[in-house]
Amino acid sequence: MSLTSAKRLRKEMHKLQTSPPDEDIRMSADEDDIRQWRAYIRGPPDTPFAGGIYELKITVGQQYPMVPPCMRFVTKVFHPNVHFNTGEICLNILKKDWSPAWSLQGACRAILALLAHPEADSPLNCDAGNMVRAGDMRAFRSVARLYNEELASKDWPADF
Amino acid sequence: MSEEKDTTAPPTAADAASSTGEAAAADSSVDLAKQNEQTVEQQNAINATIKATQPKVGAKEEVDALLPEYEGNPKPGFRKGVQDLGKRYSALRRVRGDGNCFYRSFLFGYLERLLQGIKSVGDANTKAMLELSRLRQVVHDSKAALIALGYEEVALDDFWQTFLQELDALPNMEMGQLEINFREEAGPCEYIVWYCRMLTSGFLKLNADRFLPFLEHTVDMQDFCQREVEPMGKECEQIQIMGLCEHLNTPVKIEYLDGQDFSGQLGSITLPDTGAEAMVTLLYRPGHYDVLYPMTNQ
Repeated sequence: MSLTSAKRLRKEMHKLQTSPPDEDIRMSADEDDIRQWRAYIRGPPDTPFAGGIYELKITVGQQYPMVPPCMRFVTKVFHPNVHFNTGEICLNILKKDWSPAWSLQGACRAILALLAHPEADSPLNCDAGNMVRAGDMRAFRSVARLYNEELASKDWPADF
Repeated sequence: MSEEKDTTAPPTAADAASSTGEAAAADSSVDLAKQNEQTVEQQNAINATIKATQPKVGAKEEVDALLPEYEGNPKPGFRKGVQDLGKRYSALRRVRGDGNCFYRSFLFGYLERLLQGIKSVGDANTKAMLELSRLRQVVHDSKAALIALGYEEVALDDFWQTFLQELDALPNMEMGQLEINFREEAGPCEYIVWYCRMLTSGFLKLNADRFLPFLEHTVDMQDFCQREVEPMGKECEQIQIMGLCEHLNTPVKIEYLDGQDFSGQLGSITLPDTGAEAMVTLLYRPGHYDVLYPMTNQ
């Protein structure tokens, strides 16, 4: 059955290649390894991440889609549910609420939704979490915007 | 997105290993990440034990085999219930308690019943072949309905195809093969079990107005299905049972062995309650389902 994950990934890749491009997400698999993906997502408008392009690294295991892909931010991001140093993402659908109904692209969309809706409970970034939990959205937004301006790309990468 | 503390489903080892929580020393977020990691590890350990000791689908055994479990149990309803079941059921088949037990018990019981009918002669055979083709049609039509609800075809395709292939293979299958297929750890039957979750989801969403009043903590069927129906390992309540059995139009009878005292027969329920004969009988014990075999079904 381990072949099935490759089959599924090829289907996902084919769909991405044949569908009209997503305005907010660009993604592709490593040429030599269909289990290694890179994705770029555009920070949602009206959030401190607007205008930034964020890189994600996706690693897909043999048992995908029965188990979730491992996804993390490569670009540093200041957000309660993203570990600032490791890029680890705390998102239910990538853990206990994962189901094969999600695709890699769908999971990227869920990460975009997470950027727009930070969750203060069980934060991976304590500083960001404290600001959001205390209701100090102004402080959170200004720090997040600062990092966005400094660390996120402004353009899609040339080779994507 | 709700909190991440309650880790009930088994995430991958890669996930557990990924929360390394290095660098930022006495950071409470790191503590939390570590707690999460520990919960995940504990859960993984429990799951590993279940996997090592319990086959996904056990062998048939006598109903009385349950009696030792209730030795000295303060609720007399358990032993009395097992004795009552022993009079009406010839056998029991235990199914792994991994959160998928309802779906797996139901599906296995249903397909086994169909296979038995197919192996018979005369009316029983005709009836089973008709039922199989009816089921195949329902499964066949379900993919388009799910896509119309917004699910991605790429996500459904392999599961849907596997289900149809398994149904098509049924008429030529030996009796013991079904058991072997269902026991395979990452085998095609896992795909079918998950697709049953999607059949459930689809039906609940299409009939949200009817089912929402049964849900206590949510007013959003989409959200409920995403959290409580679609992920593997999420246990099911009556609403999911109704969703699946109504979608397939396959009644299931459930005997409730919950320790409560009773007079006459143990309490049971048939869903959906249309008066039609149940295709599958399951035994419910708090938090778990197994398959039961009625005496007449021998």
